[in-house]
Amino acid sequence: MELYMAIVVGVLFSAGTYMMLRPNLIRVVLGMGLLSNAVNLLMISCGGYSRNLKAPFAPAGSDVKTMMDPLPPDIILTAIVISFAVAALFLTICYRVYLDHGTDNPEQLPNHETADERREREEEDGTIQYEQEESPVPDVLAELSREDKNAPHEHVPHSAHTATGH
Amino acid sequence: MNLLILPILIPWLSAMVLALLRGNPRLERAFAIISTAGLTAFVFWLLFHVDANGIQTTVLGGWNAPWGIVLVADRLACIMLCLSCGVGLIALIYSCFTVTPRQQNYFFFPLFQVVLTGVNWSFITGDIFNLFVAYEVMLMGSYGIMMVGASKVQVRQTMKYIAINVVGSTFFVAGVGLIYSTVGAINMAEISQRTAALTGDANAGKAAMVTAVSTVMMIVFAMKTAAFPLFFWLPDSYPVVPSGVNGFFAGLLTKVGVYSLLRMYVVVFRQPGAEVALQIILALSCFTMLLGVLGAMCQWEIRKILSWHIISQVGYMVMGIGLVGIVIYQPDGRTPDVLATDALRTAAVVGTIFYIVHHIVVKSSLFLVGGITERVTGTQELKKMGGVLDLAPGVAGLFLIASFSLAGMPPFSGFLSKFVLVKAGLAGGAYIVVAVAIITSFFTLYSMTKIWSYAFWGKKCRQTAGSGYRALMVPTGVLVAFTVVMGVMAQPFVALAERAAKDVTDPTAYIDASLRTKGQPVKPAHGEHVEHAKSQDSNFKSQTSSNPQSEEALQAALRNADTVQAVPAVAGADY
Repeated sequence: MELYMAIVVGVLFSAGTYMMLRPNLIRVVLGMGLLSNAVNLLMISCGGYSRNLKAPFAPAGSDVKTMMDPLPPDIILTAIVISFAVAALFLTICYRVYLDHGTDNPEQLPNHETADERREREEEDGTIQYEQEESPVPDVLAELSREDKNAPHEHVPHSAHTATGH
Repeated sequence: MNLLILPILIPWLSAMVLALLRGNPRLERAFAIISTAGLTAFVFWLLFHVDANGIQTTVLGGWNAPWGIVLVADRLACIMLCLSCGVGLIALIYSCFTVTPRQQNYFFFPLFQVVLTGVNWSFITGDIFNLFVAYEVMLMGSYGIMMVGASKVQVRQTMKYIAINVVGSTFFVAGVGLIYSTVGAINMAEISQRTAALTGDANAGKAAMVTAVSTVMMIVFAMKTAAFPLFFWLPDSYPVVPSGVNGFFAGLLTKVGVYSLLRMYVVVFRQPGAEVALQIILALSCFTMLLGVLGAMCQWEIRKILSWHIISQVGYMVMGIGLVGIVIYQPDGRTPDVLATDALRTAAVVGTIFYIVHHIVVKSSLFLVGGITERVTGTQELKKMGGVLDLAPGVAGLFLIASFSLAGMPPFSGFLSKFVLVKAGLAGGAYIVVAVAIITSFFTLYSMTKIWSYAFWGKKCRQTAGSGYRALMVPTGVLVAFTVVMGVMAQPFVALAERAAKDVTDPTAYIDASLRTKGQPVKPAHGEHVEHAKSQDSNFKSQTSSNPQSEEALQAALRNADTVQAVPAVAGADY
């Protein structure tokens, strides 16, 4: 049994790795699914799966030697749930990348952030503040930082002074 | 102590409440700060409690330790909890000032709490599969928070981050399975007990197998840590995170990996030949330090420079862990010098712990100062900055202290932590690694000087400083003050690190506490043998695992477990 399992796990691992390396986001997600299934099967064989073992529902006094180890299936269930959730999120994000860039080929995506994107991020982050606009300091702390809001006006003469001083 | 669940439960529940409070920005902020402040107070109390009363444990779900999940708080875990909650609180206060209403609509605060949940959980758990679940919770939160705002670049980088972490999780589960099939346990304390018993020629094959399997896990932890071959994801993904969270991410997410490396390779895997894994770690640390700092030198944006510095700094901590694996031989060159080796192990672990504390504080504060500098100058590009020293002298002061500390200048905590590590490295004869560490700290100083001369000196890039930066200096100042305190009044911190290191290098107390929760004896199939071994262990608590009698008993217990235990736990051999 272990030999068959080893072969199946090996095939799934190699197929999953191959899929993850393809230049296509959907295949990356599918490859991830194959990898997690390969690991789940590996886990089953780690628990010593055999046809002769029974399911681990043990009434009092039953012979536990003939039962399967319940821990690996338990671990696998948790791992399946987690990988399912991650796959759902991953798929959504891949779709979003496709909508943003009009391609599902990771090689055609920009490698680093472009100048536009940097500007967008700077605005998003509140790094760039426009003079007339209300600064994005949150309301709850507005009282605390009231001086800060007035700070530019107070400090204009000061900084102008130092500038002329130089 | 059932209260141990609180570091996981409080942020988790407050994440749920915060998700329901969406649309009430004030209420959301107030609630997030109150719950995190309460949690911080609790974990500091926990640190003092554990320091005074020994290791605390909680069994979850009423199943006893080797089978059920157990939460273990030793000194190291408590130190890490204090750091995560303390830095989390400060980053949260900072974020309250900087987060935009748009970002807040993307569930910023709930996701922050989810990340905090995962980080705390992975520090406190005593079970390797539970550690995997904790990692996934942390990662799920970080995927979300990385995409807050959902700009193109964020989504794209998050996609890469998910892809790399999915592969990592695959290896993690595979590693857990392989460890279970070779050792027959997934409880950290039980693995530690069983691997330590794998001595002698009869067990040599099995010990080698455990070492091989442990390197599968190393892939995962090295990936999370951003150690040498697996660091490429970090400089891409960290700069796109909103600036307040950046401090939290930079300080803590990679350190979860470092903590796990320390926990797994020093406490859990103790079979003969475990040094091999540690020596691999030591070799990788050289490349990590050097490549990280070289990457930082050619960047032109503060947050990118700092992101690369995380990698090089992680190298120091990983070096400390690697030094644990060095065995010092007596002058005849054949018999190991047990006393000197133990002293080196302790020194290396003390250095690592101290460095982790120093690094989390300093790196977070540098990221926060970087965020303030961007706000003052209104740009993120270093070449467009200038004159911050005139615009906002206070910010310059904070940056100066934090960057000197990062580079390892004497009065601050960076000097002391590097000193301890370098001293341990010289004692262990790892001269190349020490040389790399010292060269790296010179390069660190260089790139900090670059930020200083471009951003803080020079002509003023604008007439007035950007608004709203003053309030941000308060939380940042607290962190910066801590690095000064840690450097100037180092004694209590070093003493605490030494006590924590004793728990780590001699895990007898750890094993005892986690396998015997609530004072009840464990009742495994081989109960009496374990009891026997345990009493032996506690008799020789002061000595390490080299006690022949206790080892014999443990081996007997292990053999017994192989044959008697009904569950085919050591399935690899049987099938």
